[in-house]
Amino acid sequence: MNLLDSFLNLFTYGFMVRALIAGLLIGLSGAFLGSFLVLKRFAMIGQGLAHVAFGSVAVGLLFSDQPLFIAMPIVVLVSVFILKLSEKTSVHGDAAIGLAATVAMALGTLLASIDGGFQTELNSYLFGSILTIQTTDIWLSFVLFIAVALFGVFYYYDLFSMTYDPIFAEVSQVKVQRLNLVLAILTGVTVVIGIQLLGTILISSFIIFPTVIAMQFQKGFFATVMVALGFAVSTVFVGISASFIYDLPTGSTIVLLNALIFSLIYVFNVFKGGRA
Amino acid sequence: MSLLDVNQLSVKYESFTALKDVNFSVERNEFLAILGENGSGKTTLIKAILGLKDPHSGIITWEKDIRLGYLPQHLNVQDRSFPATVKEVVLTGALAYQKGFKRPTPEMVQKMTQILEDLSIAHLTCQRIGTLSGGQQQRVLLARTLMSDPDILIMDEPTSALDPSMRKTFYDLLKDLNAKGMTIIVITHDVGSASDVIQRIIYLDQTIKFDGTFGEYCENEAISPYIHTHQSHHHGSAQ
Ligand SMILES: Nc1ncnc2c1ncn2[C@@H]1O[C@H](COP(=O)(O)OP(=O)(O)OP(=O)(O)O)[C@@H](O)[C@H]1O
Ligand SMILES: [Mg+2]
Repeated sequence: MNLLDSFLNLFTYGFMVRALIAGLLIGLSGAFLGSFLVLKRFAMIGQGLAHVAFGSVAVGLLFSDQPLFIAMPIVVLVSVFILKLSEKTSVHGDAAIGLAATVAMALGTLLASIDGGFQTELNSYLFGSILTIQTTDIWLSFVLFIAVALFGVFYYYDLFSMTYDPIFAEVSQVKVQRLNLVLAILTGVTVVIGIQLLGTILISSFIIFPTVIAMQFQKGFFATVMVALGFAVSTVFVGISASFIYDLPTGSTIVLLNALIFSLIYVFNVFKGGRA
Repeated sequence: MSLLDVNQLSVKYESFTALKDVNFSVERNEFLAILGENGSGKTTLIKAILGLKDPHSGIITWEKDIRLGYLPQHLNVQDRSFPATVKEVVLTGALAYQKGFKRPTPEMVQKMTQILEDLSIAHLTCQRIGTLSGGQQQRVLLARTLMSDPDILIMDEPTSALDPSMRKTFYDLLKDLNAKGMTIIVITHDVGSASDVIQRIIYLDQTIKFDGTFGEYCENEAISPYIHTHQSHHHGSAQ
């Protein structure tokens, strides 16, 4: 069977189509939110929230077989808490992220060891699996995507203003705190929905990589966001397809694809003399 | 009613008192300079009246629906790799106050071009802001502030990164804006190059030690040496 056949063959599998749709919707949402988070120096919030999500899923598994619905409010609350801390300069955001993440991981691991029954299920949240994506998840991703898109279209300039210079934004009466709140909520939701696909360990790459790659092009803000969205779409699409065709873990394939692209552009820039 | 009223203002950092019992008001169309040695509380005063630093006590009253323009002492953005063009940054000044669905209009772009030309940085419009020099960046931020048509322009040592010829241009521009009705408050160590535009001077040292016209200030033995010898230290000389 040649590559084209295997590629077309993908679409005959319902779970692959579901994974692709969910992946693209989550990838676009993560990349868009990520362009603000990375530039606000909050790149690690995705990683931290993913660990909190893992701990909350462990708690959730004790009570229900739909742990994500228990994880969602917890993660969103922690996300809001972390971004709110950043508004007070006396507390370091990165320290808060580190604390929340490790406590949650410790809790999750402890619960898993006490009640061994759900260890395997918990593991699927650690590494993610495209097989687990259900129609409900597609609807969730769709709602998330629409929310992020509306937020982005309506508040693009305010978001840009407060990311570039929060003090100026505040003086010119941009609703900085309200925007941060929405940003935090959407980030929390993206992470929780995303860990089914990419897993706790790799989900933050959805938030960080597209923007970091796009920044290599050294363009303006709008161009950078657009390039980030473009890379998010293409890496998710190619990554999920390739992982199926070559029977590789999906999360790893997407992340390594991103890393490869980043390195190529970086090396190209160095040779071009763009940067040392 | 005045544009701005500051009443018995005190500001603290932890237990350190940066400002104590500050009282003054600003009327529309004034051109006010705030002077004082390093650490005398000038930046703190501005942050307090802008609502960026909570006062320990006292009352600050603005006239209703005032548009504030603020040019900070240090660039808030130190990240040279930040992906933003001069145009994008400058336009946020006008967009901040746009009602409803925010989008740049042709009028905004036209106004931006004019302001960038006035500040002789029009050729940098499409450059990434991180690639500019300190003085150029400062002018971009001034352009951003001017885009919002502020009622009052508050600047914290705006000329510190400008070369002498640009300083002259800069103060000429301020004089022009002031003549068109804009109220201006400027913190500066450089009264020399602004002497013909400054109408009123407040001299600060934890509290207001002097508040009067430029002429009165020059005659005031106790503090006016500062005008010529602002590099040297003379603690307590204003007592
Ligand atoms: N964030 C802060 N935390 C603690 N103390 C501060 C802080 N900012 C300022 N101070 C203190 O408050 C006093 C006034 O500082 P401020 O920055 O207002 O001075 P300034 O008059 O603007 O000085 P300069 O001419 O150097 O800009 C100083 O003694 C300073 O040490
Ligand atoms: Mg200062």
